[in-house]
Amino acid sequence: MKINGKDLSRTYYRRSEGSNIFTAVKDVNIELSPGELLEITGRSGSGKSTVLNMLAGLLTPSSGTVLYDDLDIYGLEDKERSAFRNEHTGVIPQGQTALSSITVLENVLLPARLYNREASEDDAMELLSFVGIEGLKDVYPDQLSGGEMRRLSIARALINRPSVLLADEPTGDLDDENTKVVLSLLRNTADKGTAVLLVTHEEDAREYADRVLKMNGGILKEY
Amino acid sequence: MDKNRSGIRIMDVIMAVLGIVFLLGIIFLFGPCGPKEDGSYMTCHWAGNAETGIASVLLILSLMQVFIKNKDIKTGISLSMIPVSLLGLFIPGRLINLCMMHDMACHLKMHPAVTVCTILFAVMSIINIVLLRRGEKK
Amino acid sequence: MNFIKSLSFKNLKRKPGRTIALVLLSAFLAFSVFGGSVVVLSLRNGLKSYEARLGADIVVIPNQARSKGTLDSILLQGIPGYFYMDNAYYEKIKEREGVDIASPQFFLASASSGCCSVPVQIIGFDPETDFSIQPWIQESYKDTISDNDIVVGSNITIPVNKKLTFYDLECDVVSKLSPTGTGLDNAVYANMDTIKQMMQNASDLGFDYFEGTSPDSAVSAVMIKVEDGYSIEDVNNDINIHVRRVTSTPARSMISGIAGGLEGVSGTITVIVVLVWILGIIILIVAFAMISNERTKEFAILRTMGASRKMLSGLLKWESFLIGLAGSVAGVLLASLVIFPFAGIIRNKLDLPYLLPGIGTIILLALGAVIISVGAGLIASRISSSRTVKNETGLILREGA
Repeated sequence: MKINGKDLSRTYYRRSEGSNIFTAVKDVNIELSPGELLEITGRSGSGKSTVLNMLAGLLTPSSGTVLYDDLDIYGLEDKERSAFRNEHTGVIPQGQTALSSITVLENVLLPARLYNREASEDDAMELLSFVGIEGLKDVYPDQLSGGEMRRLSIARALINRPSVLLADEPTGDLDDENTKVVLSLLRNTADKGTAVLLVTHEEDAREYADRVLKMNGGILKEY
Repeated sequence: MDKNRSGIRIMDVIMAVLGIVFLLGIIFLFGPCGPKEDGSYMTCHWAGNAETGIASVLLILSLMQVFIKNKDIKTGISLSMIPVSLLGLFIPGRLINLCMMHDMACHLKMHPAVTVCTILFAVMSIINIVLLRRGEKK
Repeated sequence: MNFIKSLSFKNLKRKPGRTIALVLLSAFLAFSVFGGSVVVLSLRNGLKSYEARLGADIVVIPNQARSKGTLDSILLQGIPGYFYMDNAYYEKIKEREGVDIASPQFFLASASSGCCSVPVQIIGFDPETDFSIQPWIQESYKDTISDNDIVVGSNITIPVNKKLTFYDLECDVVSKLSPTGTGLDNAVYANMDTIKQMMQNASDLGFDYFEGTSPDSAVSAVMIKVEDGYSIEDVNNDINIHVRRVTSTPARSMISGIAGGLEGVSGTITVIVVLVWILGIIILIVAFAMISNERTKEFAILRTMGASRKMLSGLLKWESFLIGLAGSVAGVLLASLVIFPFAGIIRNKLDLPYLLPGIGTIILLALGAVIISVGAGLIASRISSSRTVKNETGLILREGA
């Protein structure tokens, strides 16, 4: 599945000494193809996460469209868009993103269970092995390290075998070793045919990406 | 700590407090009717004595439960509290008669208070057993 | 949706402190509404029962009984008492215009000494003219009350077919009456011949109850049914004017005095329950709002996985439903542990007729308390979480980073 973001813009209203309108993203055009790992880099606050969230269907653009193949996802109702996201898109949000009231295994299965999809415990275990935390399946997230939590997020994002994987700063506060592990996993996922978008300011990520774009002041350019 | 041992649990403490309330209550607050003018006792006096005994036993058992760490023994103690509580429930008015008139102290205060305490003990014992065994299963 | 239900249960289990606090709040609401409604209904039942047991339009008693309030003590509190007037007054009363039926009643208090099994109120009736006691007895005993037979009120614990002795007269207990919630539950009932024998025996034993009146011609009260076409007030006034040394009172003014007390107590209980509920719902709304706020990141994560807004609402709804259900059931059970075993003390303290409703009504009240407590929780949760559910996920994720 190919993602196409056309003329995407996002403005916010906020109180400030200058203008009350803040443009986080301006006229961004972006394409993401299957089997490709596309990196968007840039400073904090440059608008990279905003682009990712708009592509994920989680943040309505102020203008522009997001097409998955030919489907305009913002033309769908919330219920349909959510179901579509569940089936086709894996999202790895920023920060600590596990549900604390369920175990690691249950967290991984969560996207499948939401819509009663076919993923079994064996599928979840396979993913936990893939990310290297199969021994922690019955542990609760509050007992995981940062690196383990990120690996959990990756496994969870892949349970429904999505055609698209969107990762927002997945190596955020990780040490070098864990950073390498996570980036390798993302590369591996892309090699299996998934379209992967990696938003990061990690310099080491460049060697894992097929293409790198840079976000600066809301404008997206080739790196 | 060994999985079959536990420290002082909230449930054990609650049951011990209930035991204290029951025993002190039956002695000072909701006891049976007093003696007649000639000094002799009515039948409810003996029901009150029996309930004092039951309350003492329940208090001792609940204190043992607080301080004994072995979970299997705690379970056994809670199990034993169930028939003891039920005995306490059936004494007034069934195993030992109370006064004939329902507006006497034994009917108004002792019987309802004993009913509430013994039912609470029985229910809490069952809950305690479930909690102890659930810890076991994990 | 089954998964949402199981996730909501797990969410509650994993935060036991928070869950228990909300359950306790819900329990408190259910406790107050169930307990309050049972008490209020019991008071109303008691009043209806009191009215039915009086049965008469007018009650006539000797003056000294009225001034001492003895009749009220007997009827309401079940304190044994006695008062007498000569039969001649009864004869005069029954001849007054507008009196359809006049039935004498006899009150005797048994002694605490050896001649009597137990100190109780004994009430005698004339089988030929009585219209209030016999219908009540008929509810549980179809045969005629023979001489030396007695029927006991519901507060007297004695098996049927046992014997009780009053003033050296051995009597057979033939039946037990259904409860009235009044002092009449503490009384023993006998026919006129039986009680006259007891009264004579009491006098022979030296009990000075009768103050000069011969036990054989002593009457305690006269219950009057007014003829059709006559006003109760007119007949009442007529008796007060023309028959000396007695006080005649319409039964309805005896009842209205008590009804006033009942309205006061019921009103107070209702106000308390309403205040508890207002405060409780405000606390619930604030608590759910704080919890929802705390969980914005969690909801955003669920949204990234494809949870729709409807699913998030469903999750919160199930959580508040489970909390409400557990709390309200606990509240109803706790209230039951207080109001049913301790009904006797409650009645004593209120000093009003108090008759617990039947099991069917109690179950309906319990269900009602559960439903409105659960409903209140659902509404509070909906009000406080609607903003959180509608949040734009991308903004939360951006801010949350």
